[in-house]
Amino acid sequence: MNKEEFLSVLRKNLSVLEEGEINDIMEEYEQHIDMKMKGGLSENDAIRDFGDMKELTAGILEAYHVKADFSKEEKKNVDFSKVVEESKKATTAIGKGTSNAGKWLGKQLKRMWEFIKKPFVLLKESIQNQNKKMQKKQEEARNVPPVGFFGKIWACITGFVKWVLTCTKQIVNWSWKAFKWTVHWCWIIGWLFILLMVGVGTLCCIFLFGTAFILQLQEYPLIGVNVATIGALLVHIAGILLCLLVLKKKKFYKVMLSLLAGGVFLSGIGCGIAFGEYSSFTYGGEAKLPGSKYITKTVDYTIEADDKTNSETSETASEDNAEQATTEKTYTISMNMWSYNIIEDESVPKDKIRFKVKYLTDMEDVSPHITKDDDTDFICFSSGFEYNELREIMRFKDMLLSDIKEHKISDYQFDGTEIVEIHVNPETSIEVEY
Amino acid sequence: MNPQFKKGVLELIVLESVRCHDMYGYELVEEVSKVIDVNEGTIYPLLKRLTNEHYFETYLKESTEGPPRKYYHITAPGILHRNELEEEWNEFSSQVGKFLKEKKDE
Repeated sequence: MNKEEFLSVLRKNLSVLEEGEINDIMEEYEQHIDMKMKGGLSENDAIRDFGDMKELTAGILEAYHVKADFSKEEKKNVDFSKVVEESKKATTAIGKGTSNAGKWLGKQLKRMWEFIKKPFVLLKESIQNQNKKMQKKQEEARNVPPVGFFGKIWACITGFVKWVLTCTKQIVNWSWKAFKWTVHWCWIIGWLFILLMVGVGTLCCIFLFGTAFILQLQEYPLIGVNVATIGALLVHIAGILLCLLVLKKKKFYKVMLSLLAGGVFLSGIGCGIAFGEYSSFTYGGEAKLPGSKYITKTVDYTIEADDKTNSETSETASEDNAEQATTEKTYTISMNMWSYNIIEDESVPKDKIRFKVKYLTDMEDVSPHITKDDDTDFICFSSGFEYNELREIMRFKDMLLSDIKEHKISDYQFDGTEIVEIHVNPETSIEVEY
Repeated sequence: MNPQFKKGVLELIVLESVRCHDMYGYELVEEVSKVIDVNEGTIYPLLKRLTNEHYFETYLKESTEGPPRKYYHITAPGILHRNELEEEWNEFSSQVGKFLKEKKDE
């Protein structure tokens, strides 16, 4: 399609419009195509850029508030009339007549419309002119140059005052903005911090719930704790929602409030159940660790003769009553434990000290050691019981956990040396130090 | 871009372009094409309509090459109309944006 064809087809399609309008548009399109061609495009390409002819026509007609359908009808009429023109002249005349009549009617309507519109348009223009004049006057009034010396000074002063006013206004404005900005960010950071806390809390609740749930399955009395944990979890989620609500301005008050209420309610129920569970615990009495029992061992220590001589020689310093000093000789016993009783017993020979040790243990092979320390001359007592903390804790733990399942807590007796009795003849004098 | 969207804002873009400085048709088409991809043919009828509605005035000016060009100049009502359109557009786009954001956030 070349330029001439394009323009003639377009003219035909736009035939509903006023002649003057059509000419105007034609001119513009012609110029447009010319310029495109000057820009290096071929005639065909320049026209192709307009796209589909029907669409283009419809677009133009639409801009004139003419229905696009009308153009198609018009086109059909034209085509139809063309066909008819070739076959029958009479129908051609009718076709042309109707199309001409349509055109004529359209023109008349448009003229009438213009006629009716005219006074309004004129009124509008006059109002606009008035406004323009007013604006100009105002501007002129503003820019009246200052007259005379005092006038100039006055203008300077007013100018300065105006400048100061605008400056202060600006400063106040800025500081207000800065203040608003700071408050805004403090607010946001505060809520972010709360959000972080609540988030960590939520994770803890989930963790706690997981642990308690598994223990619950293992028959520990933790129903209350579980329910309370779920309640706490709900409360934390409500907290997160509250933070989001404030930060992101979302609207889920109802969800948040119901979560909060539900959470608090569940926590209450949980605490109640837990109270019931734990207050039903009973005292299980004294309980020994499994396998432990009391065993008593008795060991006699014989005071050696040279002990006596030694002490005698040591006592030679005292000149009188050497004999008595021998009998009055005091033996020192060093204990490795603080719980002991001294019992005077006539059945014990004079040269013997009898140690009775009571153990609580599950081991049979413990027995006390009694040795003589040559340096200090002390009789050293050691119960011989070796306390293994880890072993004890493991045995205790088993017992405690099984007791918790049975809803009781007992007075647990840990293994160890219970008590030491030192039996001596009343005539033997001893001294005990820890 | 959706052609229905284009049609609505085309008028605003044309008014704004001519407000900055007077233009002739081809120049204007090029200017508008920078912003939105639009069929070149549809701008002329729009110009014609805006002129008929007294938002534009036209005058001919000789050019160094070819026939004299028809320049478009915006009138005071044109500027008012442009401001109205701009306000409408801003409100429209902000409303739509707000709505979309709200829906997205839900």
